[in-house]
Formats: sequence, structure tokens, C-alpha cells
Amino acid sequence: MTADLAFEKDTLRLLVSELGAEDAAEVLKAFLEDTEGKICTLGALPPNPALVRQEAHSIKSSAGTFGFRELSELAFSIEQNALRMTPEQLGSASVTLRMVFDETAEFARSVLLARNMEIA
Amino acid sequence: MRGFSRQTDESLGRLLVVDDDLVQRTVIGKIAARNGYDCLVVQSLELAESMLSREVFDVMTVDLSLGGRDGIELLRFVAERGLHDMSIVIISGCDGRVLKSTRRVAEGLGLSVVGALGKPLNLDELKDILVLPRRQRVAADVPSAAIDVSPERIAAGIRQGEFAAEFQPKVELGSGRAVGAEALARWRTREFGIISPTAFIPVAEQSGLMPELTEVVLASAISQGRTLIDRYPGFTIAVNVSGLLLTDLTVPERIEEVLRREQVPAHALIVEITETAAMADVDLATDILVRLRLKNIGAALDDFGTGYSSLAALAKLPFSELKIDRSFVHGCEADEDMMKIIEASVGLGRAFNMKVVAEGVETADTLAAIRRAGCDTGQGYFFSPSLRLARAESWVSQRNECVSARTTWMDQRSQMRPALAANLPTLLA
Repeated sequence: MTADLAFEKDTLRLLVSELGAEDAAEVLKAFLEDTEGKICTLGALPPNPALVRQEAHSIKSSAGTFGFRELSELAFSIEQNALRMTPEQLGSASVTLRMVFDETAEFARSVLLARNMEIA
Repeated sequence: MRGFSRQTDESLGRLLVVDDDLVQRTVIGKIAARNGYDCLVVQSLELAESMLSREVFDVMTVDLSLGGRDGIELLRFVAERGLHDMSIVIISGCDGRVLKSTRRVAEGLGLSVVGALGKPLNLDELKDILVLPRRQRVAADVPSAAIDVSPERIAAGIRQGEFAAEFQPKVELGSGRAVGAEALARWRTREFGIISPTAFIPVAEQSGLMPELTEVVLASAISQGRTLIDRYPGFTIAVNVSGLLLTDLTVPERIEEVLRREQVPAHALIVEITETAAMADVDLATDILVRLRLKNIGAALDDFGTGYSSLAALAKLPFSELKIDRSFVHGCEADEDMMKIIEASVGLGRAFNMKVVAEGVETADTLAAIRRAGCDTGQGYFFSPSLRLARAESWVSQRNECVSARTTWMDQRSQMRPALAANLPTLLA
């Protein structure tokens, strides 16, 4: 995954400039931990459509705050369709969300946190 | 629950952040602290209610989705606790229409909404909104006197001639001319100065003083407004009539008597009635309105769209003018939903052969929007606030002179163009 595809730099730059690198890193770590928990919940069987919708709604907004566009858009799509999805579709959506989140988290840890939120 | 202390010398006050999302509430709390707030962030409706019951906050940001509960419940709690001075910022990741409707619900509850933000949060907008309440609080920090608005004091005010009309001009959008004015009741007392109608009208209504008060204001409006009516052909003065008077079948004759006494033609008066009042007893209201219209007095349907019977009022009652309520007009240029309502109202007005007036015009953008929508007349602070007679006369005079001068200039220019075009070959030779 390239940095350009993964996130909107300007959004993250604004967050870092408003909070400072230290606080921005703290919030980013909280996001990664919190979202990890949410994605585990989404993977639980059998899937609960209302819960999937609620958690996807939350991930959409949080991911958007950091400019993680791909994750935010995917979560938005799941939020919009969760109540109409079959259990199989919900399961598949959870797996896709997990993959995109893992890529985002890897990028966040290896690039952003490792460079003290310095954005190239 | 977590607290963030302000990181500035100057304090903007205490902020309560209510959001079930860890990242959002942390971001809001940290940004607010960096901008001067002492913040408390909580993740649930229950915790928010508990904190609001024990502590005082200047501002609250509330997310509409709070797990299994929702922010509307919290807004209702805030209203029930009477926390009307606390500034509220509504935040939601839901559809923009939900956000706008929630804002209206909160304003309907009498809450001080200073902003509504979608998610993901735009941090610049968040900062701007968090700074705004402070400015508003400073502006509102004027001590209010304990004002006696007892029925006895109102009755004494009527006897002593303390009630009079002020005039807010109405502008014809096609020509730009001032073509009328709404007379608004003003109560000037020696001890308290000017008292707002919102303070004395409900008391007058409850204590049966509205017939007397309406007659006094009507007489003041007609008597004072006569100079405008005489000077400008077609100029009208509009006077609000309380719904309570629409059960009194002698109202048309009493209004006619005032007009006769002041020697003002009936067509120069418009009686403004709210739809709620008109529909309370539709048979009596129809009787009264029909007789007013037969006497050549105009009738305006006021605050159109705010009651539950707007369409029925239009269909059943012989109004000559429709006044779109300010709540639809204010900021309509940036609100597609409001524009649809205004356009539909204009269409209805046209279908019923009524003039359509937009109330609450406060900016040039709003004016451009209502003009595009096809409204006939505009009224609001963009043109002028309500004015005492002398100032109103001066305002109308200057406005109409300016419009006349512009019209003359435009006419001259259009006459000169063909002559110039005809002479152009000679001039260029």
C-alpha cells in the first residue's frame, strides 16, 4: 500500500498542527487500539447487522479524522448496507474491513508513529 | 470520563464533550483545551446527565449517536433542566438532513445551538464554532432588570399612552421601492426603558388585555403611518391582530371606525393573522376575514409554515398576502430544504393570487435567493430594523428617491443607446 492511496495527507497534517505531534500520536494509538477491538467484534459469529452498522459508523468517522480514506469509505459502505446484508455478506464485509484496517494500522505504526507523526 | 485542562492563559469556560467514540471525544477535548477550554469528556448519555446535574458548563458538544441511546434524549434533558444559556454544538456522522433537523429540534426546545458539525470532523470548523460561544456570551453579559410585566402594569401602560407602533419597512423586490411597513408594538416605560413584545404579549393575552392593546397599537400605527400612506401611492401599513380577537365579530367594524377616524383609506391597511389563530375557529375567522376584505382591508397570513394547518388556512380563508416565516428564510441560500419550502410557498401564493412576502431577510445572499425564488416583497434587518416614525419616514424617502434616480438614469441610458448607435459611424469617422 502506498502512502498516497492510504490517506489524505492534508487531513492528517491539520490534525497534527492542531494537536501537536505528541497528542496526535496519542490519539492515533487510541484509534488503532479502539478500532482493533471494534473489528474483532464485527468478526464475531453470527454477525449482528445492527451492531455491524453501529461499529462501521464509528470507524467511518474516526478513520476520516486521520484522513484514512480507504478505511473510512469502506466502513461507510458497510454502514449504509449492513441492515440489508445476508449473514454471508456481513461476514465477507468484516473480512475485507479487517484487511484494510490491518494495512492501515501497519502503515500508521511503521511510518507515522515511527517518524513521530512527520508526514512526507 | 476524562478531563483536559486548558492550555491558554485566557479561559473560554468549561466544555462538556459527549461522544461514545473514543477518538472523536479525545480529539475534540484536546483541541478545545488548546483553545482555552477546561474540558470534561464523557462517553454516555447517563454520564452526561449525571455531570450536567452536578456541574455547570458553558458549552456542550453532543454526538447524536450514543451507543444504544441518542443525543436527542440528551438535548431534551438539557431543556428540561432549563440549561438554556449553555451553548450547544451538535455533532453527527449521520446524513446532513438529520443534522439540520436535529438543530431545529434543539432550537424548538429553546436551546442555544451555536453550530452543527458532520463527521469526520472538519477541525477548522470545530475551532471556529468553539470560539463563537464566548463572543456570544460576552455580548449577552448585560444585566437584565427585573421587569414588572404584570397585567396591572400593562393596563396602566395602555392608559398612560406608553404603547406605540414602530415601523419595519417592506421592500418590493422587483422595483426596490419601499411599498409598505409592518407596525410593531413597542412599550416604552420610564423605569425599564423599552420592553420586548415577547415579554408583554403573552401576559396581555392571558389577562384579556389584547383587545385594548391591539386597538391602541392599531390606532397608533394608522395615525402615525398616515403620512407615509399619503405620500406614497399604494403604501400599506400592516398590523398584527391577536388570534383572540378573531372570535369577536365586531372587529371589522371597530377597525373600520379607526380608519374613518384617522381618515385613512381601507386599502392602505393590512391585518396580519397567524395561521394558528385563524384556524382555531375557522368559521368565525372566515366571517371576520371576509368582512374585512369586503371593506377593502387586506389580510396577510403571518408566520406561514410554522403551524399545523398552513394549507387548510390557505384554502379556506380569503387572505391577500402570504408571509413566509423567518425560520425558513434565514440562511435559506445555504439550505436546499428551506429553498424548496420557499419555492413551494411562492407557488402556492401564486395559485391563490396572493402576494408573497419573505420575512427575516438579513443578508444580501438571502435577498438574492428569495428574489430568485420569486417572492414579491422582502422584510428584515438587511433592509431595516423597526424604526420610529420619523426615522421610518426618512428611510422610506431616501430609499424611494434613490430608486427613482436609478430608474431615471436607466431610462436615459436606454434612450441614449439607439442615438449613440445611430451616430457611431459619424463619430468614428
